[in-house]
Amino acid sequence: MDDYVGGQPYGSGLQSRDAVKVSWLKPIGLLWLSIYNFIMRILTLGIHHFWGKTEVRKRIWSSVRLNGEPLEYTGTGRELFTGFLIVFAAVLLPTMLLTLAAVMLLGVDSVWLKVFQGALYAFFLFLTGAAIYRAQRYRLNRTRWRGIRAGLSGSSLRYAWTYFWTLLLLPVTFGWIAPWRSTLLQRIITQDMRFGDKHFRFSGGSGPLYKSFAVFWLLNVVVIGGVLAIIGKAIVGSMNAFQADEGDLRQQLPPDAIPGLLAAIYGGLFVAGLIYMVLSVWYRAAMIRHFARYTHIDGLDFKSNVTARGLLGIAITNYLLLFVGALLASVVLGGIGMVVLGGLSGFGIDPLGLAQNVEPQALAGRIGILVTFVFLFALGMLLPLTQARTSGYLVRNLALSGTIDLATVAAGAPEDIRRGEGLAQAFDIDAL
Amino acid sequence: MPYDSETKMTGPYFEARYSDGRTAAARDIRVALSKHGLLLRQDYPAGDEVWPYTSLTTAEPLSSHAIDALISNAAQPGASLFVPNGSFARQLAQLAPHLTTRAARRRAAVPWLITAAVIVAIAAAISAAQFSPARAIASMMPDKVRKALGNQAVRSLTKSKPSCMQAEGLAAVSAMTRRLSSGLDGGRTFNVTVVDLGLVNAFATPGNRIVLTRGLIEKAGSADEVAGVLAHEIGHAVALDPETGIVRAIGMSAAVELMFGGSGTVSNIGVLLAQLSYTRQAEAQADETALRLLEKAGISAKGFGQFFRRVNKEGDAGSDSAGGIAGMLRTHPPTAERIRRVDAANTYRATPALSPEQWQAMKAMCPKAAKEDG
Ligand SMILES: [Zn+2]
Repeated sequence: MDDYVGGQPYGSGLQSRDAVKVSWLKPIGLLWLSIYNFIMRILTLGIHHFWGKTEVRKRIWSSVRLNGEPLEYTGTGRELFTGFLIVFAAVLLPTMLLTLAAVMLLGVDSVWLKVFQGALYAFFLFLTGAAIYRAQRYRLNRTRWRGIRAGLSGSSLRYAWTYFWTLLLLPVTFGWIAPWRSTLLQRIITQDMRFGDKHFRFSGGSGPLYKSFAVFWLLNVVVIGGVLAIIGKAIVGSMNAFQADEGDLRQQLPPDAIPGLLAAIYGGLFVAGLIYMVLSVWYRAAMIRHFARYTHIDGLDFKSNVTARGLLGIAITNYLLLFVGALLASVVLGGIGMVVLGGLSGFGIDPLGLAQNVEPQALAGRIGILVTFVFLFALGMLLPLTQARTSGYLVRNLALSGTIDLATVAAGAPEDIRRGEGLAQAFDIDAL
Repeated sequence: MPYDSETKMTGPYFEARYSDGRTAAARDIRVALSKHGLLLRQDYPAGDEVWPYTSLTTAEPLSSHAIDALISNAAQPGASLFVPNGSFARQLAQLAPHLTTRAARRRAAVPWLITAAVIVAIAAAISAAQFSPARAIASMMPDKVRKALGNQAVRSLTKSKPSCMQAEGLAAVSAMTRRLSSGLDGGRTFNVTVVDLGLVNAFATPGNRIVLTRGLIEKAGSADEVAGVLAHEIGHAVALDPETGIVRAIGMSAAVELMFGGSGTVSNIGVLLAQLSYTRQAEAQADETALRLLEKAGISAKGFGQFFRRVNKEGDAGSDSAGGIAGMLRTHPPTAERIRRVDAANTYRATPALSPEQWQAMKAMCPKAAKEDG
């Protein structure tokens, strides 16, 4: 059966409609790369971060294969770094100075200071939308396949505005605007997105997502509300039992009852948090499938098969990896730190003030802050590994059906984006 | 110009996919590694083509465990060549070493390693030369800014607490302050506030302002002890330590921002103002100034030393006394070294810092203290 009947010229056109198969080729050596980047970041006082991130992206991009051929990430560390510097100089530093000036001019207790801070907060929410869009544009613009660049041709301000006013409606609608909102934002991004000169299309509304959202919302209300009610009841019950009328609860309760009560409260909160996490992952999986179902380019239709169980498995193992990595790194850094401190004290330098006659509590506090700082810093060490695992899961569960005439996908007009996603960098909203 | 022979080949042909970058179409071709460059064997429409090794680029550098290579040609933007063959990637890495992971990493890391080393060296040199950039900036701060910063700091710290305004007490405080600051050149004046707070503390803020707590006055055994502490805080103010502390805190938060790649810890000025503790040198210098001022004012330095010992004793006793001297211990640890230096001060003719009446007025100047007395 000839698919190309009627008026199709012989030759190139006939065989040229291609199916596209997406696959994930597990990257090798990411653990070592994570550790290398972590060390370099320390040795370069943080600056290497942008180059490290670029190398990680190159690896992850090239693990995504379309018909066996890799995606290419052509961004550079220099672009990310200059983007960051510009945002730092143009947004963060002025904000700091402006806040300082406002505090000085208006006074800490002034109502106008609250107004100013509120306005600043709103402005930053608006900027967050712009940052998301611009980061996406930079990344797409630096993505190539078979030498053809992807891109995002639209206005980041329009996206930022939509992001902002729909965000304001979230609390007013008790969250019920969320599916409509995320579908709207996804539609803007998808329809602005292109590969070469071919635009992506987004073909659906938020309707089907509401079924999942209703379940998510109701279960959250019922389960978390229930857990909180049980905790509340435990507190009220113990108060009644010991006839605490005025004073402090702790003083009224016999000491041996307190650990049990605390265990009930924290245990309850932990369970509530866990349930919320499972439910939101479940909703997120539904959302990803929903978005994929409505995404098309030319004759290709996207389909995602991610499941709540799969996403949850990846998320939990990722947290464990980050935690174990941070633990090991902290131990190593702590050891090195001790050697360095010992060496410095040989020269009479004492950055922590250990030789001073400080009371042990204060010293423990100082060391505690330092250890927390190191641990939080080290939590980021294995991020490249976990990012690759998440990307891998998403890509392995993505399928493209239908066909596309690749010979008609022409390179788009070159765009001039010299800087990286500074705004997103500064706001820490870039996932990769 | 067509490439004419296969005699210059260094290896066999490899299967590859070639895209010209104009469309997303690709076609199968064969490539080989020749002496002069990568040889692209094209049957149709063009003839053979050579990409010189020096003009080759790859988005992902060639690693030793590569199983394929995606190559572009700087002279021919858009065109790309995908060779799904690990052995090809390794041979190419030998011929075009600038494409390897190692070379790419060296390019990315070396300039910044040098930069970091230079920064550390400069920082070490600056601290060795006892030059503080933060102090230099602080000394350039206009008086107006210093005053405004000081007013803010005092207001935020005394927010809910009334300052102690009883007239005779205020007169005693300003008499003591005048007596101490008369020893300074340039006729500088200081604005001293006593706050109705139980904890024992004293600090200087920008703009020549000093705050003492009721707790400190209650804890002190004599006016001479308060005078010692006040002289010490004047020492900080004279050295612009509070101004320097704020500049340093702003600089630190900027550095942390960079270290974390900008995690959006956008500017909490309250945090900056809240925690200022000075270096040991700054403390030693403030002590030195204090001893000088006490001597010029003819107030005995014994009170200063006595106050140190008092704070230390409370600290050792575990201190859950209502006043709470934890703050004082944290910001001004009375080390053995400090006590030794104060004890070694010159002896000179001294009179009490305040008359007994003035001292009583100072102790009774806060509403809370007055209430307890009555
Ligand atoms: Zn001091």
